[in-house]
Amino acid sequence: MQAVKLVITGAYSAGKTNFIRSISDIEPVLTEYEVTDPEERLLKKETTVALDFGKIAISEEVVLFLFGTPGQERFDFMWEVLSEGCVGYVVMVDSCRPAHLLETQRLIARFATITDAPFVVAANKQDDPAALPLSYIRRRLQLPFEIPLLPCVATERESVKNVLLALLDHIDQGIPDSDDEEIPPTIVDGMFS
Amino acid sequence: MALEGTLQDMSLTDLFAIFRIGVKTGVLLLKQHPERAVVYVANGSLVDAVVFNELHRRLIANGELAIIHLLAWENATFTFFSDKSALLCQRRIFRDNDTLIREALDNSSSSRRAALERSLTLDTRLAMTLLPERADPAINLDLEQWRILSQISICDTIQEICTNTRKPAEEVIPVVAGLIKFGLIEVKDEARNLPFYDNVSPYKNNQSAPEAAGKLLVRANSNRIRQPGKRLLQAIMRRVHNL
Ligand SMILES: Nc1nc2c(ncn2[C@@H]2O[C@H](COP(=O)(O)OP(=O)(O)O)[C@@H](O)[C@H]2O)c(=O)[nH]1
Ligand SMILES: [Mg+2]
Repeated sequence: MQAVKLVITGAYSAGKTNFIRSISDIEPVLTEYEVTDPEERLLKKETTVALDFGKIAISEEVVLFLFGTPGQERFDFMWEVLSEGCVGYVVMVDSCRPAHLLETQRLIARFATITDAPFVVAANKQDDPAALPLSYIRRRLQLPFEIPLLPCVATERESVKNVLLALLDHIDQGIPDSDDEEIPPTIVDGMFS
Repeated sequence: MALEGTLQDMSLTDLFAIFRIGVKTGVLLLKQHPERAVVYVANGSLVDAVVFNELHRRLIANGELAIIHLLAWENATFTFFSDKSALLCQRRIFRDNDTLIREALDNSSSSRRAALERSLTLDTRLAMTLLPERADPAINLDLEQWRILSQISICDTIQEICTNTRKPAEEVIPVVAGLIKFGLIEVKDEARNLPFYDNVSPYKNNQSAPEAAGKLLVRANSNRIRQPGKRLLQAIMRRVHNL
């Protein structure tokens, strides 16, 4: 079996779990734990420690895996492990929490030191009428214009599809034509079969 | 849900710009203890605002004055939610955001200047700034300012300047405040003479930082991605597309 691995990252409560849940073939395997920090508890009752994990069967042989990273910084050692062999990633940002912008900017910088994989940014919760516009989010994240920034509603499958397609397209554009099939896709042999 | 945060995450001027660009209608609540405020936004423009003191149950300002008051807030928490009832609000704000922002800026710089003047006394000791390049080279000083500036090197306190120039403190202090603002002179900081720098080693706990950075670099290299082929990628795209 060939596994193609994508990582879904973002600050706490950005919408990673919902994103993976909206598109996955299976109910994601969630490892939730009780949030103890009172401020975090206000934001969300439970959070993910280990990982959100989803998969989409592409063919008999190929499976697309989605891995969600735990958001809090105290778990960021996990990021390196999760990013191993990933071919691209989505950075999710909560469009309703300006405080996320600085945190996400740091997260993007940190991820760039961990992996060279291409990424797109998903401005989530755009269904909220009070959501910040993409232009403002791009400016505050100081995102270069080559990096796609997509509107996202993680609870809606069509929207999640859109973001994934944009990521795949972005990965595709980074592959020179002559390299076609010369380099095998990342293989995680039978890891999840 | 709503847009939530603190003015440190996002400034009030940014919020107002976002409302205007997004043609938002709703209510912005702000809280900076012991004051609270409500701003009504209709079709992207500010219609009315109220600031009140919770502790004393007292109205501080409303309308345009409330906005100018709010523009000085720095630590407030805020929530904005869309609410069509703001359309029914009677308009008490007539000038545009930019005009109000400019006015608030003028207020804050003149109040800073006033605060500086209040802090200067006859005993205040002055010195030329250590870094003259901090001063704007385009500054033109008038005769009064030159006269006071020329005293700084020979006088220690404002009292001495007053004596030397035979001018009352009320005349000298505003000039001194202006020169401080230009960055030409500064209030002598007694604490600066203390050798406190010796006690602080900025490198104390940093021993392992370069090491960690090295590790990260190795990590990044070993994590260099092996790209999937174009054909495989296209197959994945087709599949995701048809989900
Ligand atoms: N309005 C709205 N709420 C969302 C969206 N995505 C996630 N949420 C909410 O945001 C909170 C955090 O989402 P979750 O997926 O658990 O975030 P995670 O911490 O990144 O895994 C939950 O209360 C979700 O219901 C969205 O697209 N729109
Ligand atoms: Mg989660």
